[in-house]
Amino acid sequence: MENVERILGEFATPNNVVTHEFKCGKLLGAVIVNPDLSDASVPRAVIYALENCAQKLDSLDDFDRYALLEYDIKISSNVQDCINKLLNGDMLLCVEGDARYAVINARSYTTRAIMEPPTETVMRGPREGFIEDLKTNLSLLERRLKTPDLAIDRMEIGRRTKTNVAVCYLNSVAAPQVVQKIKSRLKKIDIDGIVDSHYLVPYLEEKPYSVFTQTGISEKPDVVAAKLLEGRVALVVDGSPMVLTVPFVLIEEFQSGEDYYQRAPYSTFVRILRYLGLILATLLPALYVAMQNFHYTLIPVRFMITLMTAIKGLPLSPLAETLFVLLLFEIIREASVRMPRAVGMAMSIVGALVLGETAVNAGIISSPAVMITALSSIALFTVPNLIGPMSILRLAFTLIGGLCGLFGLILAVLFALHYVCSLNAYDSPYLAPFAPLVYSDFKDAIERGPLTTMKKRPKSIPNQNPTRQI
Amino acid sequence: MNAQSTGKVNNKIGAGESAQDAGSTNTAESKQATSRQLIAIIFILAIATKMFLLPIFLIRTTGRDAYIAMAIGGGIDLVALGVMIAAMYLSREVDFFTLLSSTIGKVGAKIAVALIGLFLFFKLNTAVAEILAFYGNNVLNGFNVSLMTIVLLVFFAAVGVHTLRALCRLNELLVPLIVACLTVLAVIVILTGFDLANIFPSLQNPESFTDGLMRHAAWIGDFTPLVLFMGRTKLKKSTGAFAAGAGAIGTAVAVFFTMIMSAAFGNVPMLADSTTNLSNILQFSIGNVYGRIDMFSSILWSISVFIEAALFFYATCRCVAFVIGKNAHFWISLAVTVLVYIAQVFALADRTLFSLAVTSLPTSAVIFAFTIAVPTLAVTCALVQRNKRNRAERDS
Repeated sequence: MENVERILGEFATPNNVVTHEFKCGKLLGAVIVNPDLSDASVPRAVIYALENCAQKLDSLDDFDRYALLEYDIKISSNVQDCINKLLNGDMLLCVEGDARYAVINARSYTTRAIMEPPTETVMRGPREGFIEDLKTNLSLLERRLKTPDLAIDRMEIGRRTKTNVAVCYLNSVAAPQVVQKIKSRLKKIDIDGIVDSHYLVPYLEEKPYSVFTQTGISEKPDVVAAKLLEGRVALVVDGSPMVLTVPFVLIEEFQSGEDYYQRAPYSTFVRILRYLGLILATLLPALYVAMQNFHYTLIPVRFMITLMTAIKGLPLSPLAETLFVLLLFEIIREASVRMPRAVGMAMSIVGALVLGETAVNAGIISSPAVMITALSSIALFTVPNLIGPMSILRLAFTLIGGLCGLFGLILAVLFALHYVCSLNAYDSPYLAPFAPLVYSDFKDAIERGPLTTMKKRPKSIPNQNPTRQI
Repeated sequence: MNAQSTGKVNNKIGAGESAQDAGSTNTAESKQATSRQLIAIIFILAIATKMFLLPIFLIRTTGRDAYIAMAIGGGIDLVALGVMIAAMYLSREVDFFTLLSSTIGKVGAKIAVALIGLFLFFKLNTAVAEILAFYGNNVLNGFNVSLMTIVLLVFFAAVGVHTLRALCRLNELLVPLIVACLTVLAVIVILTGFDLANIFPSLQNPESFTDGLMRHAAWIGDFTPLVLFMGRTKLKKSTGAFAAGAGAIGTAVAVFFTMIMSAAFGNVPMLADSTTNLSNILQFSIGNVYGRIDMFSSILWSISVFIEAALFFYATCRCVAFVIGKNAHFWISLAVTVLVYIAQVFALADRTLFSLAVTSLPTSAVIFAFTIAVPTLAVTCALVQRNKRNRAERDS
């Protein structure tokens, strides 16, 4: 059949798809289906329905009108569009003498079950996480936002992968210029494939070379729904459990979904710990090295004596020693993450006990350097999303602190802060509500105010409906 | 009422910086500073270099009357600030460079901006030399000045390639920290009970503080970079009063700490040198009984000097951009960075010579003239343009 040949001719290996021919009255027809992506029962049921239909069927339109009422059918004459549908798991139905195809939804592929995401575990609150299926992910969002205001714009990105991407936002809340900007950026993407949502990140960000991420990433539907309610836009990508949200501001890294499920004072306390943890993590090794190298008069005398005893006879300078321990830690961390869990545990023990302890006993590194690095690294884990950028900054600050003392360290911190101050993610100042100061947003910055006080949406995020209750 | 039906977009950030403004558009209007940012910058300009090494320079020239010289210098700067604020209100929409071009013509404007740029470059070098002198001799004794200069200039270059708004935001972020550190220092000083009686008897030799003021006129004119804020700040009715208040408070703080320095060194000015500032005086007077809080506070408040110098750098770059008629921020920043490096490491290597040049009376006279001339020029141009506008409106 010519229709079938036209479709099969587009495939490098035609046996990727299966065709079944049938006869319906005087009409000779065929179904084309991708067995890996489609429900095998659908072609059978369709053919059965057509062959046993009491009504006389003369065309594809009659199939839709009289025989296949229970199926989602669209008729198309665009071959490329039909092939795309076929590759997404839909079934094509055609009849001899008609160049058109009926596209019938027969998609069915195995997905993993909804489970708690390993990157955002909580003690309280919903444990559902997104999975790799777009439809399931959208249903998780729609279940939380039961409003016709929820807009879902779908598009395909990737010349070869033709990945389905859904742009979700609340139509009367999200700022139209932000939605427009996101859509236009997505439309401009010309790439052969999008295999995960992270592929979209550099296209969405204004400064793709930055060490700081300017796009929010979450695996939890409750978190994404809350962000949509604040006027953000979510991007759900088929095949990825990670949902992107924009605009994004830095304080989001310090907020956890669980903050809103606990008592406000405790959440505030935990947030303060996170901020302190981050400062400690990035600056502690640098301060330690700067003080040892240049400003030992700043170290209290008793502590100085203890320190002198510990570093006596070390072959490495304070800077080299601290950098060595920091790099050692980064290597152990990277190895532990990549290794299978059982081996990773062993690796941690070898790294921490054998390497650390032995190196100290051998007099290669000092115990204060190990302690400082350990303290800094533990503090770093209080804000897991910032581990990457802060690890880089920590190394840079340590290097500058060791070479130029507090003078260089202050300038390096100013440099980093100035850079962060210059960032804007989709009309949102990256460091808001601190710079520029937005007092009304402070109730969800360092402090986590009670939800009853959060009657207004954050001003840092552009929106067209400032009051939450409307 | 549903906001959608009103069609309004809630994108107001803080006092005036809108989320839309914060976007990536490159128009001058979209990168306006807020009133709060302007006030914070004025406070920093009022305290930064005036509290850094100037008190000790004045003490060496003037003795215990140094604080009076500081008060007079600060007063002159406050007058300049007042004129500058008036100019900002008169020209809310048009920036300084455009205003100048439309008033005295493009060529005249370029000459004027070139001269202002030179003045700012001089102020920048003075601030950088101060920073290097203090950190090089005191905090990082024996450290490689060349390397220190590079580190400092890298920060300045980063400021030069970004927007004024980014620097304003940085300042806004750090002002609370600086204020907190100054408060800690003030409390420590007051608790240690410094002897204020040491500043008396005063005015025994009025010529000395006049001489001190004249020789250190290079440290006034700190509000000159505010011309950049003309037409680029969202001014509210109360902004002027708050801005003047911030300047006055900053000046009062500088005078207060100069009084403390005068009380400590007024009778023995020969003990003070270019490595002495608040951090030393605290160690000197309290013997570290407060642990290291005083040192940390001293180091942290001095961030304000870096910010002020960065603003001078930024203003110099923008003047160069206007004169050459190109907005090549990266290349201009690089060029100014190289010039500052050459000036600091090669031309001004002899700090004594530099000090003599800066404190010479002709230099001071020129600086004094610029301190007054720049705000006057700004306000005159703004008035001329306003009159033109009014006339045009009447005619139409």
